[in-house]
Amino acid sequence: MVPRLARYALIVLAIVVMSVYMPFLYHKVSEKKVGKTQLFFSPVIKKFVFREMVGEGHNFVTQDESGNDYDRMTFETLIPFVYYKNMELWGKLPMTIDGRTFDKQTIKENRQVFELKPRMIADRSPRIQVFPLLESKPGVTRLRFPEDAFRMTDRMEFINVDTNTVDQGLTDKFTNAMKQAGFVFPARLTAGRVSILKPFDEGFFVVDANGCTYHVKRVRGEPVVVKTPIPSDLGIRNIKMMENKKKEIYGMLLTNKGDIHLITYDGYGLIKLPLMDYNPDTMDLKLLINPLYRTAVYSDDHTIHAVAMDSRYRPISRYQRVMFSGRTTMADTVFKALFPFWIKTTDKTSGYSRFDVIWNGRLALIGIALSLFFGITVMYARKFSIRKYWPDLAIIMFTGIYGLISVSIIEPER
Amino acid sequence: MLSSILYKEWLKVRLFWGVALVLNIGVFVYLFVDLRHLFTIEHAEMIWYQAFKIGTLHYAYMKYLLVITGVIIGAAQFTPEMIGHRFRLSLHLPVRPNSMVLCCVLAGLLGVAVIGMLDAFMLYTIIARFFPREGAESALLTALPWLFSGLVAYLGTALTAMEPRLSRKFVYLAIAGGFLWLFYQGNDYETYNWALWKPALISMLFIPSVILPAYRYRNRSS
Repeated sequence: MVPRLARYALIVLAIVVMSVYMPFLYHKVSEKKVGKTQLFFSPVIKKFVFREMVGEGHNFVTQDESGNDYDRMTFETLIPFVYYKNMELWGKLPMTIDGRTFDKQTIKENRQVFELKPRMIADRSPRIQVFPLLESKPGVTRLRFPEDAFRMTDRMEFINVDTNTVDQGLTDKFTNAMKQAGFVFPARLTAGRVSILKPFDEGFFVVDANGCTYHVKRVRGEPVVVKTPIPSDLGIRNIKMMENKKKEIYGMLLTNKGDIHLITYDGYGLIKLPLMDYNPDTMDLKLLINPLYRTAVYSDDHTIHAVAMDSRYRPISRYQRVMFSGRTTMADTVFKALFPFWIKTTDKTSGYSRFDVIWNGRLALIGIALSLFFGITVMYARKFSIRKYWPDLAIIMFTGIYGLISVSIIEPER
Repeated sequence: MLSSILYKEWLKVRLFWGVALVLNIGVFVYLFVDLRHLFTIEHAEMIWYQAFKIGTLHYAYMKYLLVITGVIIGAAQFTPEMIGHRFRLSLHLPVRPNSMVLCCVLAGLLGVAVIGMLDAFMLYTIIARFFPREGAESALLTALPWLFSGLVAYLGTALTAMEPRLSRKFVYLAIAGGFLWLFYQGNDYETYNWALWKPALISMLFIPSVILPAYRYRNRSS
C-alpha cells in the first residue's frame, strides 16, 4: 500500500512539472511574432487610424476606422503630431489644421505621453518602501540623489545612507511639518518618481491614514507639505507621477474602482478620464496629449480601446477593435484540446510570480478522451489489470496527457 | 532504534556536511567583503537606488548555494550505499523499511535545513549591515525560494540515488530538476511573495516519494 501511495505522490509531482513546462514549450514552438496594434486619433481626418501586424515578417495593415487602407507615409501624415520630425524632414511644417498653424516648436512643447501598465500599480509589483526625497531646488543644473532616504512609519523617518542610521534631526523636522499640515500617520501610499533623469523634482504624494493626500517636497533642505483638496473618500490605489516641463499635470491617479484621474497643477484639481471598459489589472493605458486632442488608448491581449477627447478632456470619439494578436488561432485551439489545464508561473501584468491552475475548458475533453483510449491500450498491452489499477485511469481522466505520460513512465510495481 | 539510525546517518554525512557548511560560510564571507568593497568605491545612495529601484540583487550569487548543498548531502548519504549495496544491510535492521528510509531522509533534510537557516541568518545580518531593515527583509523574502529549493534538491538527489534502474533515474532527475526550476522563475526581488507557498506545499510530496525507489531496491523490481 505504502509504495503505491509513494508512486502516486511521484505521479502528482510529474503532472505538476509537466503542466508547467509542456504548455511553455508548446507556446515556444507555436507562437508567432504579432505585435500590438498601434492606434491613434488623426487630427487631420478626425478618425481613428491604426497599424497592425497581421502575419510573419513585416506584414502590416494600415487603415482608418472606416476600413480605408493607407501606405506608411500617408499614415504618418495623418498623425503629424506623432511623426512631427518626419513632417519636418518632408517639408510639411509648419502645417495648418482646423485653421491653426503648428510649427515644430509648438508641437514639441504641447506633446506629452502618460503611461500606466498593470505592473506599475503599487500593489502589483514589489517595492521596498524606502525612497530618496530629492532636493527640488538644487541650485545646480542636474538633480542629485540626497545622502538620506526616508521611510513612512509612525513618522517620516530619514536614514543616512552612509551610516545606515536614523537622522534624528531631519526626521523630526519633516515629521513635525507633516503633522502641522494635518497628516495622520501611518501612510497608506507613498508615490513619487524616483529618478534623477527628469527635468525637475516634484517630490512625493503621500496618502495618510485617513485617505487625505499630501504633497511633500524638500525645498532648499526644508520640508514643504501641502494638504491637497483631493477627496479622502476617493479610494486611491495608485499615483503615477510624471514631471514634465509643461507643468499642467502632476500625474495619474488610479482609484480602487478603476477610475483614472489626472492631478492638475491648478490647485491639485482632478480631471476624470472618460474611459469605458478599462481594467487597470489587465490593460496597458497610454494618454497621448497633442496640441489639439487628448487620446487615451488602452488594451489587453485581446481588444484595444480608445477615446479621443478635446483639450478639456470631453470625449469626442470612441473606438475599439479585436486586435489581430487577440484572435484565436489554430494553435490556440489545438492547445486547448491537448492540455486540460496548465500552470501559469509568470504574469506580465504583475511583478509577482504566480502558480495558478488555468483550465482550458470543454475542448480539453477531446485530449482527455484520446489520452484515456491510449491509457487503456497501454494497460492491455502491458497486461495490467484495469480493476486493480483503476486509479491510473482516474488520474488520466482528470489530467489528460499529463496523467497519461506520468502513469506510463512511472509504472506500478507488480 | 530510530535515534540510532539518525546517529548513523550523521556519522555518514558529517564530513560532507562540514564541507558544505564551510562552502556556505565562505560564500557569505565573500558577500560581506564584496558589499564592503562596493560601498567603498561607490556612493551609498547610488547602491541603495540600484538595490531598491532598479532591483539589482547584490546577493544573487547565493542563488544556487543551497541547491549545491542539498545535492552534496544527498549524494554523500545515498550514493556510496547504493554503489556498495550497503543499503541492503540497512533495510534488514529491526525496523520497518519505510520508517527506516524516511528516518534517513529526515536526517539529511535536517542537515540541509540547518545550513539553510544559517544562510538566512547570515544573509539578513550582512544585508542589514549595509541597507535599512526593509532591504534585509526583502533579501530574506527574495532568497526564501532559493533556500527552499535546497530541500527539493536534496530530496531529488535521494530519490534518484536510491533508484536501482538507470532509465528511471533519468525520469526522477527530470521531475526533480523541473520542480527545482519552479523556484527560479523570477529575476527581481520578492517575486515569490504571493506564490511560494503553493510549489513549497506540493514539494512535500517528494518525502513520501522516496519510499518507492527504496521499495524497488529492496524487491529489485524493474
